Amino acid sequence: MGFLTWLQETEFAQFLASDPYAYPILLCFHAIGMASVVGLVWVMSARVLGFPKSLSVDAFHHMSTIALWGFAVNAVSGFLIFSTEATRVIDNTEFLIKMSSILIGGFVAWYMVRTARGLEPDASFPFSLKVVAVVTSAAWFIAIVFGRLIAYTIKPPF
Amino acid sequence: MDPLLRWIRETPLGAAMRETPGLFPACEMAHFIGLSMLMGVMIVVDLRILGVFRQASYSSVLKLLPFAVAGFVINLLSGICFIACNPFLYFTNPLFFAKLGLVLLGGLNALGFTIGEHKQIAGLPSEAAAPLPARIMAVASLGVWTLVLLAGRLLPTFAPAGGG
Repeated sequence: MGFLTWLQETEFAQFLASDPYAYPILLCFHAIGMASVVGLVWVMSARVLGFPKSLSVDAFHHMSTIALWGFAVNAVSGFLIFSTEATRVIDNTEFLIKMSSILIGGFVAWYMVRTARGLEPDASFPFSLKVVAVVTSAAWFIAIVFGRLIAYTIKPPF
Repeated sequence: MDPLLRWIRETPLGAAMRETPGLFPACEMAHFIGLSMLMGVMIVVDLRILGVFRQASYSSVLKLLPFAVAGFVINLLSGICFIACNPFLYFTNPLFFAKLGLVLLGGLNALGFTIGEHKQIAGLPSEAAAPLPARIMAVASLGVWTLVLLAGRLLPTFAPAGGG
């Protein structure tokens, strides 16, 4: 636990936790990043599932770039939020489920985009890739659900 | 205003929101999921009108809009549930009124686009630039929905003390 205690007690983490604006601003970044990653993964998954079939898969290139930016915003804002409560959130089951879902959802989305872009732009996709689209969509859904649950289940600070 | 707010709070919906374990968090989850659907689609549609994703035809991108409408409806319904739970928390908060105004603005902008621009844009060839009014509406849409998201996220944090 040494590192987490140190992290939580750094001057910056203490500032983030106590300043009246810092934490809400972090939450704002985290919400915008969430909408970008999850929203675009869902749009690309919908396309793989055939809604709408006419949408060219070539557009996945820019869509996945925006999703990656959203992911980066949330990796940073998420780490800073984590730093304010590291020792309490590390053994929170909901937090661990959220992190696992993000890991799975991220890798599966990356695999889906890579595979889809290798096919014809107006292709109808094989059933296996549709399963992949459902898996990544569900993983991000679970990440949102368990992210929200952390607020209800984390140990109080004192 | 107080009698009306008290009435809202005593509706069966308000009581259910306060007394059913897990219902309030479930509405919050729905609200986050709805906002991701709305924002995800609007990012794609608005940026396409502004000239990004040129590989995709205008008409194909516009076919995503029903997902945005679905996200909006999810958030309208879950939002009504939050208000019914404790109307005092919202109707005493300036950020709530700002958010309502912005939602109205976003809705009117979307209505204006649907009536005035949608048909013309859907018929444009991929390489053509969208007309200026549609571009202005796309910028407004991205800006307004982002502000709605921020107002909503900050609303509980900056609620006046002792609301309800």
